[in-house]
Amino acid sequence: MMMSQRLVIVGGGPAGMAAAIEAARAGLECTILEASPLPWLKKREHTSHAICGKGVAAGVTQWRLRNELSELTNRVQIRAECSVLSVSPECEVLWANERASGVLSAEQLILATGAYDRRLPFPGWTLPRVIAPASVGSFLDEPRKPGALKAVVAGTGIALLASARRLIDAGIQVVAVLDAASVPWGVESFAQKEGRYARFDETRENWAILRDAQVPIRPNHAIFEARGTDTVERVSYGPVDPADWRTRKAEARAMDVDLVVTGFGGEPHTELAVIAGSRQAYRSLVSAWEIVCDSMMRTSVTGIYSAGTRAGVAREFLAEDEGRVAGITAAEAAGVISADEATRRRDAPLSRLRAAAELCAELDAISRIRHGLFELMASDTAICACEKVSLGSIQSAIATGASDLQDVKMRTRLGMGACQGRDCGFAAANYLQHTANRASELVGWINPRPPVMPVTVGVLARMNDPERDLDAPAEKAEAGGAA
Amino acid sequence: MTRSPDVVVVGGGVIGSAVAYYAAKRGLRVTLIDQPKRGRATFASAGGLWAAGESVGLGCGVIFHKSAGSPDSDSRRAAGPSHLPRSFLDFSVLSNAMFPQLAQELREYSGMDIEWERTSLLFLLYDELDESFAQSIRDRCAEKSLGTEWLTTDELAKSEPVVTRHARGALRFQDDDQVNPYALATAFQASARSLGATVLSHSAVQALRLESGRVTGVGVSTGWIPCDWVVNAAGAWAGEVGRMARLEIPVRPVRGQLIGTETLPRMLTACLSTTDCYLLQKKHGEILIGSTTEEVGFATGVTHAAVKTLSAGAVRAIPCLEHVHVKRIWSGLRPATPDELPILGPAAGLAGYLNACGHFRTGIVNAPLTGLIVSELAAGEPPTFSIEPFSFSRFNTSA
Repeated sequence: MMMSQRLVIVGGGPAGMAAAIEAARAGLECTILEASPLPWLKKREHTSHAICGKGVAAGVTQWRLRNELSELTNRVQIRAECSVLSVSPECEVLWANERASGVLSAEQLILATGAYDRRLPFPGWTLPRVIAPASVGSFLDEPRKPGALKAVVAGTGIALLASARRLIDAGIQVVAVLDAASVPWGVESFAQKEGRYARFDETRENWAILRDAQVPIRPNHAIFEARGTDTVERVSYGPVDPADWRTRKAEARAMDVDLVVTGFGGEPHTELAVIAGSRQAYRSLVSAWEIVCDSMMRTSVTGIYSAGTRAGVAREFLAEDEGRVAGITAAEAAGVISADEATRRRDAPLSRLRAAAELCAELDAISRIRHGLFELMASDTAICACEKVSLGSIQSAIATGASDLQDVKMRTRLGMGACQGRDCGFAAANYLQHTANRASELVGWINPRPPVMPVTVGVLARMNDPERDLDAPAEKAEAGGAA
Repeated sequence: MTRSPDVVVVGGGVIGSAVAYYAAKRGLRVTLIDQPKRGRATFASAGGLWAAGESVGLGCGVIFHKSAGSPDSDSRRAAGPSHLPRSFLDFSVLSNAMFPQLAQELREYSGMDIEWERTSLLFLLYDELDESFAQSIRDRCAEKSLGTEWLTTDELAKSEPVVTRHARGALRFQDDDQVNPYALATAFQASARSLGATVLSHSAVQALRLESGRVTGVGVSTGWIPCDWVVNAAGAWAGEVGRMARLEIPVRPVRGQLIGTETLPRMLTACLSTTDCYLLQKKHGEILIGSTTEEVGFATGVTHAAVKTLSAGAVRAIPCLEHVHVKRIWSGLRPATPDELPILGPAAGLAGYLNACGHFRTGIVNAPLTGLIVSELAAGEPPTFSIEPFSFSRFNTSA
């Protein structure tokens, strides 16, 4: 039987790194499992602006955490390119990479799997080059034909500013940022909050860069439709009602673009926690099911913590400190620091979280999803891009008795594709809620199933094959201190 | 009597939905109470309609038999899993034969396609033990005049080019087919609705009202629904519903785990059964790989050991699955009985109560005939097929 790890952290983003830093600092050995190649941890030559998981703002945080982590390499083991497919309530972790898969058992588990972009369907949203903010990085990495590109960024929240700034940095012309909400970017009410939470500086910096580039930021505006043959060529856009986001189609205008970036905040990756049996609760401010955690980041399953997995437009403000609290609490539970010491160490991140919570609530309230935009979906609009399920099929499923999201899935195959409903679940749930008038509790969610990351039958067939174990030699964090 | 009887069906899986459909079609006034629970067997079924195969122990039976046997008990393995009685085979064959017409009917009532396909079932032969087991099956099938056929290695390769060349051949069951189990259950329900049935979804049965030896009402959160008949079609939870009527229904959950692949181009024409796993390619292209037989109560998770075994079994049978992505792995709870046979019909001493439970591995194939028979009983008509071998009274053997 394999030896149990003391603490396994799933996810090497800000929350996961911060959790590892605090656990290791307290004397608890831990292992980070991260699906991506973790370039910022491996390569010394990366500058802060090249890092970027979600724009420059996230990159700066990761750069800072990387330097903190680099002083603790003797207690932190990092396994990059290692996907976690499933976790059990007993803290057993099923992992896989391209060649092998195996089971790792842990005494405690911190799930820091982050969030993915929430997208709202509109006619043409599945066209190539209509992408989510998180895909901006990979879009910029792709080889492109030379020539000026024009982009429009739409949706809601501060992530739009970060996406637009990254496009500008890469030499792409951003013709407009359209935010459906009544965002007050740059006005006094937010300027006053700078001192209260430093991270907002990054947003102000993004905003200033857009201003200097003369990119118009239009509050209460949205894309109505995208058109194009092979890729997106033209969008129609226009104003929405500030109260309910109903579109004013009579005032629609058109513009030519080569790229559309659209996102409406984050939808948390709760799959692993749900598979492990953690309780979820619906939070209507962010229109999402979230993992129920106490202030120490403990889920309802003993030994399992969840950090940095909130929904909404401002979750980046919370991720790092939630990770710190989870790391400290795990160290306390493991007995490497006393309860008093843990309380002392949690004090600073908890007080920053309290301050941030207020700002997040404010931003989330501004960007709360109103129902009007869902009226853009036409009966032939594909809601589930993976399985090509149109709104019309969802409507007929409801007409023949489908009463919850799981039921819609069974009848239409919505969410049965590779993304397991990440792209379509939100829109379908909201449609059921508002149009078919059902309570969010009844609408429910699409049951997540392992594997939550891609894996082949062959890799699973070789599970725990001793000759293919990834254990030897374990990869240590080799990041240098130089920033 | 001027009005038709009120039937309340407890359970919205394939069995309850079939009962609701046939009862509504017969003109009875039907209310179906459906509480989606985690682990419903209908939604973790692969949808094999293996009337002959399952009766002789193929599908999960042979997988379980091999995994349960000790390595030195070759003779036991060669004898294979136990066969179910003739009455069960006849029931399944009759029920299976209902599908072609049923598919048409349900399409007319609901507009839905249950994805019924003629496939046949192939038992792949890897070694001598498989061969001798297959031989004994074939002898028995001949007695029962079921259509079977031997395939040599070459014939197998021609018929199913993706199957491993290491198989020594296969035994084909000509009349075993497949269907989409969720589509079947939802089409039954939608058709029942269009025939006037009421479906209460997300509604739990809280109590049964018993008055002078008769069930007269079903309690849900909004109050009592009066009834002439209550039908216990609660699958793995049938025991719970039985206890509300002070009956001990011997149904227990037996977990089965299932792996679904990504959508693939058509590569299988037949369903495959091996001693490691079974494999079916569904209409939309995914291949389903099943399944385990586990006594773990109502736990609905998946286990690493099962995932490894089923994946390895799948790659052994179809080597090109090696590089195919897994889309999801999940499990369901089969409603098992002590003798693996369903429990159908009344319970002695309690009027207004009918069982439609305990279908274990064969709820999908046996849903049509079960629905038909139970609706006949509720209408006061003699059943199409004798339910005597499946009666609840068979368990009352204690002196």
